Amino acid sequence: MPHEPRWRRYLRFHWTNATADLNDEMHDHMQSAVESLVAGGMSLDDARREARRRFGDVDRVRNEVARIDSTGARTASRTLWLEHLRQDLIYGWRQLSRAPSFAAVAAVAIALGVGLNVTIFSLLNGLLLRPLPGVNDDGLRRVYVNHHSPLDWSGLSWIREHSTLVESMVGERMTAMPVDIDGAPERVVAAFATRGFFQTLRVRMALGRAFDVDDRQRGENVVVLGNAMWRTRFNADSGVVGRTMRIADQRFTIVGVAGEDFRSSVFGWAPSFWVPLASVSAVTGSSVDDFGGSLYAIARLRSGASDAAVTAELATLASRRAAADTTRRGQFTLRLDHVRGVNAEIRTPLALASGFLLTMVVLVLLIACGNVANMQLARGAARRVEMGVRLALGASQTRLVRQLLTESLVLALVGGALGVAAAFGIVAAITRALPVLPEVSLSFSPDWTVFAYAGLLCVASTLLFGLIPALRATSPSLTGFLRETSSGRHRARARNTLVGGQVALCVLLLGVTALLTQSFVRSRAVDPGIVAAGVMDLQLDLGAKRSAADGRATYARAAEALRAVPGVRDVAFAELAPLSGSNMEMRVVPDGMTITDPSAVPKTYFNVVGGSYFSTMGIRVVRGRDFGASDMPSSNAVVVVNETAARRWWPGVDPLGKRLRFGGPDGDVLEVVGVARDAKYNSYGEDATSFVYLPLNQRYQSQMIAQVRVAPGTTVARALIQAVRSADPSLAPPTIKPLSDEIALALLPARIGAGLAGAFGAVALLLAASGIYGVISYMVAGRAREIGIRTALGATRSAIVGLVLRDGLRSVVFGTLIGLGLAIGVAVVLSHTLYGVAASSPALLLGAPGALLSIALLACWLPARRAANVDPTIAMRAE
Amino acid sequence: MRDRDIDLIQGTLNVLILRALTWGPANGYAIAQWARDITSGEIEIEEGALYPALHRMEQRGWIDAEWRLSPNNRRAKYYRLTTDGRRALKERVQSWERLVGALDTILTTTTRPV
Repeated sequence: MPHEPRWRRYLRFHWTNATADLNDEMHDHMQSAVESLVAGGMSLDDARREARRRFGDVDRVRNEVARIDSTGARTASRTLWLEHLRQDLIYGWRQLSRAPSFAAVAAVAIALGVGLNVTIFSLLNGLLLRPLPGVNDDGLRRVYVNHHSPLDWSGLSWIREHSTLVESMVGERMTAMPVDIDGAPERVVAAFATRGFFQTLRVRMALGRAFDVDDRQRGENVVVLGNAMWRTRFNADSGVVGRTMRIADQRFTIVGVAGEDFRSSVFGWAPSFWVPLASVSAVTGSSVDDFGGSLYAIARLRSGASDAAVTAELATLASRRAAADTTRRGQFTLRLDHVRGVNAEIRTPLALASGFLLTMVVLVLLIACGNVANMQLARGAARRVEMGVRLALGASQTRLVRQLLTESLVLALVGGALGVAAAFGIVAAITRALPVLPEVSLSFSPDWTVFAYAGLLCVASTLLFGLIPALRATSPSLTGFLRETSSGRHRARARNTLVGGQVALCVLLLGVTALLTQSFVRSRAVDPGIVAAGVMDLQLDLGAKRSAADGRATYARAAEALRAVPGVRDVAFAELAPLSGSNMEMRVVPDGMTITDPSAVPKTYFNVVGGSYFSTMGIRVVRGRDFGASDMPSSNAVVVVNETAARRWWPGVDPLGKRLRFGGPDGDVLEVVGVARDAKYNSYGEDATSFVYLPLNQRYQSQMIAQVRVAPGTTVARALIQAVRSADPSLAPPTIKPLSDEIALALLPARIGAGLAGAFGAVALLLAASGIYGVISYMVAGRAREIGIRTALGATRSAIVGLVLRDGLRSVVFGTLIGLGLAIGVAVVLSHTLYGVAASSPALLLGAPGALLSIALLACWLPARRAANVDPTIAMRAE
Repeated sequence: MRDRDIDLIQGTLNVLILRALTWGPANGYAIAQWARDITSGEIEIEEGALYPALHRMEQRGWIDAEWRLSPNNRRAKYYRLTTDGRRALKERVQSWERLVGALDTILTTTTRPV
């Protein structure tokens, strides 16, 4: 007996009427039994009874057999389905290998689309979706004040003390600390951690133990090393526990090393070591109570506590606190958030930007799918006969469509795999190109989320470019198609619509690219109000131990030494560099303003400056004077305001001599002695904002940036560092950076955005152009006969070219108009958020459609020219 | 009935059916008759119990089914042994013989336990 494959046997189960068969079988048994009993002499009734007795419970047997049959049928159909899938995959692969040029072009198009998408998604995944490394994040939540701000210590300890649903809460604050490990002083980025930090996060320690120091307990100077620092600076010495290192000139005992996986409680941070918050007075000189105000807080909720319940409890605590503490600044809200990805303050702009980028790459993928769909439609036309025959022989359309879709899936998977490989390469290159900062730890390497996303894209692409062509190719109205030539009217319409859609999307993408580029270019052209070229920034840290008088003297000595360096034109000090991303804000109450509502007190950005700040930075003082030697701690407390501040707080009046309270209604009184020209402080695109300058000599800060203007063409970095160290040899060598580098960072997002958009636009243009070219070529090939006849009847070459162009460009023009409309809509939306973007910008209205139309013209012209050169006799015979 | 009992009975039924079919195709009733005849009525099996066993073995591929018309123009389902079924029967016979041989040795040995 030849071996029948099991799946074919199952076919018989699938198509029969199982119930009728079972009934017949039972009936046959009963009848046979009755017949034979009657033949043996029994009466009919007795025979029936006896037959039934011998059989047993008929219904039970029937039910059991029916159950067995249906289970078998289910297994059979599952097996059948799998078998079909296997066949279809092989069939699809074979069909594709028979059309290698189509497969290659289609795979490349899909690879471009999927690759771009996976690249952007990998970057987003690394920033927004990943969990905190090395932390057990079950029941862990971030806590923010007023939507996305970090807490201060008193707020954190209040919640810790009074909450019942929060099991424990900790905070972390990263800052640069002066350390001495090998005998040479240096600055290392490390972090303060509140009590129970490692325990709450359940961090596994590689060595030793975590510290458990009450935040108010001074004197316990212990430190936990980060794993990376332990490896690089201590050679992974297993005896490091118990050794000491000097931090801010004090001895700190190493009690443990954090596990390899752990980085920080803040996503993306990687401080080199942690000291208890209690040591903050030893390291920085400020006390725990007036510590900065920016502890990034994480809470572990009691098991079973829901987010809603905890949020409600926090709201109650917040209002109790506001009522109890009159020095508080009015109401504040506490917010819970999950612990994946970057902090909320970065997340919102990042999420917006990434949503934007993702939309753009999805559009590119749609264009790519449009290309492949067009190619599939053309192929489908060629396979009509084969499909028609199979349909006529009884194959179901569903089965055929499944088969064609599986073929599309194979194509999508091949293209997708290529795209994913390219994406990983691009992401690796981007990661390598990013500036390496030891205190930042981000990883964009692929994980299963990225693979799942890629798989999803492949499936979606399959449906996008495969479904309609498959349906078309197998549609049951056969007879016309078996006779039809390839110039079928409604198939041409489908292809032209696709081209029109692709063109619209491409124009949209190009338009957005034009807008982003324009925004970037205009941003660069904005006058930042300072002359950044030629200024070198040196980060100085005098340490917490110095008295203000000693510190002032040190700064003065440093300024003198710096001025003495050949090539130096001017020296200034500032607490913050402009456009560096950091800013300080303070409440002010200007003279003449009556405050009725405590929450309506105006706020202003400010900076503490020294030396000849305004002349060094190239900011003009338009009224009054700069700070000078007369501004000492003993003399009148003064301030310089910018033009916007003067205009806002004392409109139409000379601000010189006016006073303001710095810090709130009870703050220090400062007298305005000068008005400086407005500049850009936080970002190039910012609106005019008030800004005040305070003199260093009246507000001593232990950490300042020395901003030194040097003559162009001089390389003085080492000399500058030497000069600073000569002022005080105990100082760690300052880090030095040109100011223009720091400012360039402010433009980085705009530059990245414009660059990416440009890349997407270029890819979209390439895809759209190749799509148009393909469709026109196909159309020309289909009309070869008609063109041959026209030529034979005397049409000139230019007339033929015109004919082809007219037909081909119609859909292109239509698509361009639609795309332009969409782009204008996007421009209107973007004009509110991006700098320098207007819906009427000529780059958008002319550039994008112009670029596309010229490329489209080229893509149409080549096949048109070929058509015109065709020998009419050959053309007419070809059909 | 405990599960093991059901398995035992099912296994026995399977062997019975397979053996019955070694002489050629038969329908469910014929198999039931044969079982009744060869044991002279000693073993009374519930005839209906044959059918679940028959359908299960059909799905397993040990037997094949074919619809025929009986002399009285009734649809009758006839089962026949497949190669797989033949092999399965042979394995059963062999394991039974091994069991019998082992039992025989145990029951007729003269060696004492230590």
